Amino acid sequence: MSEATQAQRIRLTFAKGEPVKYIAHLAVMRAWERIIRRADLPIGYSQGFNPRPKLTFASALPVGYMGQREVLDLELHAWVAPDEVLRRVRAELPPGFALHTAHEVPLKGPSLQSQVRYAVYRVSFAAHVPAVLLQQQIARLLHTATLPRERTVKGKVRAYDLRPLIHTLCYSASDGTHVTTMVLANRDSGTARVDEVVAEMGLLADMRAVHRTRLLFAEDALETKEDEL
Amino acid sequence: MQYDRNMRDSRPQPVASGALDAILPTIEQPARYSGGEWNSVRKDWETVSVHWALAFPELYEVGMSNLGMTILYELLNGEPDTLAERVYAPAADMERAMRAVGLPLYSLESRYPLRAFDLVGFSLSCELNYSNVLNMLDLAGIPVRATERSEGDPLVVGGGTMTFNAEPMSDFFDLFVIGEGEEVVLELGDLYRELRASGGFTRQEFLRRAVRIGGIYVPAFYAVQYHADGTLARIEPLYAGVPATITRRIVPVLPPPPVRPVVPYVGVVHDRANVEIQRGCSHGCRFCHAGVIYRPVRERSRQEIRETVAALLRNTGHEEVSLTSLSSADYPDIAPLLHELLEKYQEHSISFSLPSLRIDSFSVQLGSLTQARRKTGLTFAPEAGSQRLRDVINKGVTEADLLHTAAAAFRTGWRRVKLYFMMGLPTETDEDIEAIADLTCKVRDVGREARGKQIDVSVSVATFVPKPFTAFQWTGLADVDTLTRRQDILKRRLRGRGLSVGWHDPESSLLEATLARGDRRIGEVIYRAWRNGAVFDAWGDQFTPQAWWSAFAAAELSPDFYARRVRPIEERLPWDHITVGVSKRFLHREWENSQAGIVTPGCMERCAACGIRTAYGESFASCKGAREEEGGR
Repeated sequence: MSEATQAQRIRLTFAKGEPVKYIAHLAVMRAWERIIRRADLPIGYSQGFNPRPKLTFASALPVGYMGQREVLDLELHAWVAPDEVLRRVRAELPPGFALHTAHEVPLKGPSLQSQVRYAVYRVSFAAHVPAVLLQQQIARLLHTATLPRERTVKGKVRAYDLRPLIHTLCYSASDGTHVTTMVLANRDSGTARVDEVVAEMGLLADMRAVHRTRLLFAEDALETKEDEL
Repeated sequence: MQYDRNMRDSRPQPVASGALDAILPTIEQPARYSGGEWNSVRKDWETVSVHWALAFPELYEVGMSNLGMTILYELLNGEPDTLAERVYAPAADMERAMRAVGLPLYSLESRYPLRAFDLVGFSLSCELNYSNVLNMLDLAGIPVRATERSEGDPLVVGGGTMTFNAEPMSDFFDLFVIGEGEEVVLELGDLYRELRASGGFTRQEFLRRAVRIGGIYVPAFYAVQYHADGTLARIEPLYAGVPATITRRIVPVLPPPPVRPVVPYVGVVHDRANVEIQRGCSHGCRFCHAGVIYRPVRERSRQEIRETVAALLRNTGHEEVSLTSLSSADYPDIAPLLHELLEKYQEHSISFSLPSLRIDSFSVQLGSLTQARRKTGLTFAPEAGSQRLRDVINKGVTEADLLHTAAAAFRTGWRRVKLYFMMGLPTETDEDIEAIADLTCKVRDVGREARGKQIDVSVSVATFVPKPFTAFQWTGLADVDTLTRRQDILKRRLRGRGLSVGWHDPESSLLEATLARGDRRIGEVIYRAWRNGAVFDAWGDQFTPQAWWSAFAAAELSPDFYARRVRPIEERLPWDHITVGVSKRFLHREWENSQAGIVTPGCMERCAACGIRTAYGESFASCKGAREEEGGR
């Protein structure tokens, strides 16, 4: 019993920037396993023939995108003060990763992945694209009732509607560059990808840096707003 | 393209991250090219006087698994006045993208183009990487041929196991390091620094002084003459002070092992921490190149291994440690060491692996320690099917050994056993190939007896390629008809449940054989083949044999002359001016023993008087086998 009460779940929010934006999700997971081992934290391991450290990521970030507040849960088999976790992990971070916060969450709470609802992106475009074109395309997409598309998953073509997965799409100019903000569904039942939305806008070739600024969870305010919509 | 190294303004600038952002999103595995891995070393370019690029002519995943690169990277970056940065061969998609926008080949750390470095060292570990070297130089904007380089270009240095016959690649290198690089690279750096500081640096002056360093070979300083029949007549120094023979450099005691290896993001071939527990092998298999060029056996102490494992795990976070050597089961007290490590790191879920096990029940015991939880498979290398042929190649293993070992493996819980054989060995007949099939079936039967039908025996049959500095260096590659017929025998015999068989492409083996024992004229072939589009020749899906065969034709050279011809003992070999320590007399004696089927015991059993002791003297107390015998012969 005392062992069990000592176990804990720690939630980390971290950033993934240059140059690690080019590493794929599987590699990000492996990198974090190694960071945690170097930090010498009492990480729990799964059972079975091939025990894996108990790390859970809220959502995979596509290759090439930067993440400002990505989220991951660690399951430790012994209690460590969150500040101590913060300190030890920061000492082992490769260039491009940053750790913002570490705090304790209920050990038996729902899985992190199941709680994600939306992802917020900041997508920039090449300066030569006329602002009016971007605005027109955004307006067109928002006024369309359906955006039927196909996605190939493991060799199988699957039809889906992109439109209901777009929650917010808006344009803002800053310092002579174009920036759009997108709030896109990100849950087991449906996820919209930035490149799909930009492809619908017909501007894939002009897309530049993509930042995922945050993930919105079930408990975040947007969920209640969504019910009102 | 040229720049004056004394004028900072004219130096090539690092590749901007914007330039990479423009191409990497469309590239497969972009993290191969973006760097920034844990333990990668970024030094201030301006405050360092010697800049090394360490280049590996293969994909990132392959190059990052090379121990030699890891050793030199940590060693050179440990020097305060030196930096070393990595570069690998870009895959076809990246190469296309780079050429399309004129992006030069750059290092992963500072992203400086290779042209900005003082020395570019290529690790040559496989003949089938040669075309990639030319391609990388070209992508870097460095003239491919050494004679076309000028004062602004880096010095291009070759090292690694292929340099023991450096002739085929000698057109493309300014100098080679023959042997173990740990001391030589520092000496080269010192020379570079000294010449720069004195203001007397020219490429020529550097090379003239470099040949005074032991193990340095500057091919341009030698004249090569051929007989009318195409065989080599002589390789002689052109100038006074250039050594007539170059002796392989070796370190008497293994230097401290690397403990801060770069931790890759991309899943690499050997994605784990490595401890080189010993260097060299005492067995004396007659086909084996590594067995000769890494002599003598040198071990690390248990204490050093213990400390290295602890430091590696702390510094990398790896989940697996490999205790590497050419024959890890030979390490004294390997079992207690393994027990100790497993016990110590059990709670951290760290696994250990031992490559290259022997064929004995002891190795099965070791395997059951390292694969206690998950028995993925065991690999054994009988190399030949019949006892007669195993005696010819001096593989001291009997059928009873193999069957005993396989039975022990299956009983201990393994279901998958992999067997390595060779085809086309000297004196080989069709009966020897039938014997491979017989032996494999017996192993399968042993497995069925122990575990029932659910077992898998996979057989890998490599084409034997004669290599320099082996007892088989005079013999020829088997002809295509013979190899095809023998493959057919195995295809016919090794069918059915629980059996699978794989082999090498015969054309790829032919290329390897021509390059392995080629002379300096092969440089023209390599150049033309690269111009014909040859690149990544080790990859079956990218190998274009026609690029090579037409290059041979254009250079008016015959692949068979190099690969298949049996060379008379008196013939001068293209590597005769290199001394590896193992004497030619010994190799010849071993050739004769092989023809008579006489087995030579390993040097831990009895000194075979290979010549190491004579060549390197008393500093090699670690050459345990060598006693009074070598001196006596």
